[in-house]
Amino acid sequence: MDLNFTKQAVRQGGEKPLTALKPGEAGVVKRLSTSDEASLKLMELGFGPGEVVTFLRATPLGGPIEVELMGYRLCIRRAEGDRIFVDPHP
Amino acid sequence: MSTPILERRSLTLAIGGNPNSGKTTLFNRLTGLRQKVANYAGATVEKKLGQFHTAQTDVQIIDLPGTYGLTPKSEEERIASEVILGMNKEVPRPEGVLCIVDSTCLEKSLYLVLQMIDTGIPTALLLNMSDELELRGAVIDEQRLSRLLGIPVLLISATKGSNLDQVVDLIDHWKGPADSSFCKLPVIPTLQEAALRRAKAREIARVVIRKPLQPHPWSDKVDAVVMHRVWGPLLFAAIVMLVFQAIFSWAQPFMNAIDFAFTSLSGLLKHLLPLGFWNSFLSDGVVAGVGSVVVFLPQILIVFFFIAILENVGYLPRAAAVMDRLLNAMGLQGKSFLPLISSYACAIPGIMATRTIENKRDRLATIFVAPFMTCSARLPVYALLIGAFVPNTSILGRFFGLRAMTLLGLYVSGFIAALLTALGLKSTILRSRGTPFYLEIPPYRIPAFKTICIIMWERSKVFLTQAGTIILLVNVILWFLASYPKKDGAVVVRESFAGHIGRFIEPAIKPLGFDWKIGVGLLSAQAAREVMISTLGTIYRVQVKGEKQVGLQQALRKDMTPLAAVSLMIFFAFAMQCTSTLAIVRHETGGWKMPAIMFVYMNSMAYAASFAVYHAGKLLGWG
Repeated sequence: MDLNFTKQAVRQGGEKPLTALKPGEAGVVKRLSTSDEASLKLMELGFGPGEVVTFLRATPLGGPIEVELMGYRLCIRRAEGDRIFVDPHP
Repeated sequence: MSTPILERRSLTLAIGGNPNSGKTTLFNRLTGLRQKVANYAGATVEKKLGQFHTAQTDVQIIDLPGTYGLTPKSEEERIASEVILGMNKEVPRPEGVLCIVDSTCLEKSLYLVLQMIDTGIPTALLLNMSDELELRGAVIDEQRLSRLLGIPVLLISATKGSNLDQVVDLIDHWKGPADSSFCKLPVIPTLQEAALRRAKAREIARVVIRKPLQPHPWSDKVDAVVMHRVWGPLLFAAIVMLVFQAIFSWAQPFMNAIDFAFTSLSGLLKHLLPLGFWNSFLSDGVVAGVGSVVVFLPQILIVFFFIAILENVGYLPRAAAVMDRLLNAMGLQGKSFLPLISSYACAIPGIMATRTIENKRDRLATIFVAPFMTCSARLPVYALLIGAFVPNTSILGRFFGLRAMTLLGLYVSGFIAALLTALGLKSTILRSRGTPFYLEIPPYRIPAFKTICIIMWERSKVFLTQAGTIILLVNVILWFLASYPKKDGAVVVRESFAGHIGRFIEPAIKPLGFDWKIGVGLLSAQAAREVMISTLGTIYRVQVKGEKQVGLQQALRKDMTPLAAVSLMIFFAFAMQCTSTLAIVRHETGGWKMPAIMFVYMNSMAYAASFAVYHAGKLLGWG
């Protein structure tokens, strides 16, 4: 998925993958670079552009990461977290 | 003056919502236990129908599978959207939807609510968990939300039962589709439209949430331990050991009692009834058959007691997150862990426990490999054969003998078979196609006692009706095969139908080192693996009650080489012998396809492995 306004963010270099955040750090979802099917699912779960996501913690041995968004918590695998790009300084 | 006679009307409603939004609790609250549970044809998704009667309305309720959206990507979503759009032939078309959401995360759920409204079906929104919302200091403006969405909105607590009278009132005055004023989006959106729907959900949530949620008072503190990189796995290991201990030890006295009761009843019938067909049929066929079903009930109840508590407290998804990395390497996922561990006791509760896995492919793969875990029914067979054929010599010092080593080897063989099978399945036919893995981490909740009881009751019912009837049937058939035709009024196994079958299949099992007697034993193991022991006891005419199997072991030693015994144990490690497991797989997967594939796959593997071991052993001159 690529929404027009995200290109600007790329140029500004303000975005990084969700997995690169530190525990407790939050960022605004900019774009998802997953397949269309996965993007749709992630959007249903709440990872829509503009949503604030907080990185909570990582599980052992490179397991899933726990994040908070819209007041609920969810674990996703790193493979997905690596493809969700957020702007930590909106 | 006469009171106007109100005509009763009938109404079909669906209950929809995200997973864990309290759908099932509401469904149970409204319908009590008047519900019919089955699977949608050919699907792993449960079809739940229930009914209840209000003052004026006869209501039929369809419990939809929990989903986050209606775009048919998964089986759940496909069925939910089919039912709502009246395209599913198995259930009546609903005239409306009660959309239930967890009010503590309204914005997340609004996506599905908006999508439901856009289908055009009359929708009412139930904001569940009002008690928790209040506890955490949040306020939602329900009137404003109702105006914005153009549908009725009610704050309820399904667990506490509060405001349910208003739900009933709403149903009694159910109206046609709402005239929603804001822009509609296509039900099945493009990515841009999905982003728009998300943005709209955010906009609405921002307007109607008057006071935001306070953070859960202690969830974070508990999670610091539960999901800690060291304490998390340790805690999980401790809990697994507790469950294990419970299944193996705590269930035992109950299982013994049940066994005793049915054995006594069978003996009593034998004594009371006149000798003949009915005597034998009732005592050896039916009563013994029912006994062999009911004897599993304690284990089933214990497994689901723990699973229901762990799931409803909110621990299960956390444990799954902690274990996911390990299971992912195996091609499975975190939620596969508990079902697989339970399968070490018995594959039946293990397979029934896979319901917690939302992803269909992961669930099927877990179901497929569960019977490879060394279940407790294999243990008596291993004990018998190891005791008879493996010398009690010690290796690696005093504490670790060859016998223990053999047993460990059999456990490991089963696990490796499961591992390779799971990897094979997940990299071929059950490969996850782009569906991201996710686990929702709910706040900790204290489960309602009633909820736990209902889950235990439902699972037991599934077991008794699905597995129970098959076990009973197989038992009666096996009883018949082993008891007829009689020769001079007595049973001679060799001349019975079972004996004939055993001798008929002898050429096929000879290459594995088995004779017709083992053939009959394998046939009887279809009822349950450990039944082979009593069957062999009958064939060799020795007592096998309790721990004293010395007679049978001596008899076997005369008839079999140690190599053939090893071959037999290998066969048991891999073979799909348990008919009741097949019945449960059929129930859980909605058809005979999966059990048929499993039966062929596992038995081919068992045959090949035994063949290889037996012939390799012969070449090496071991037997």
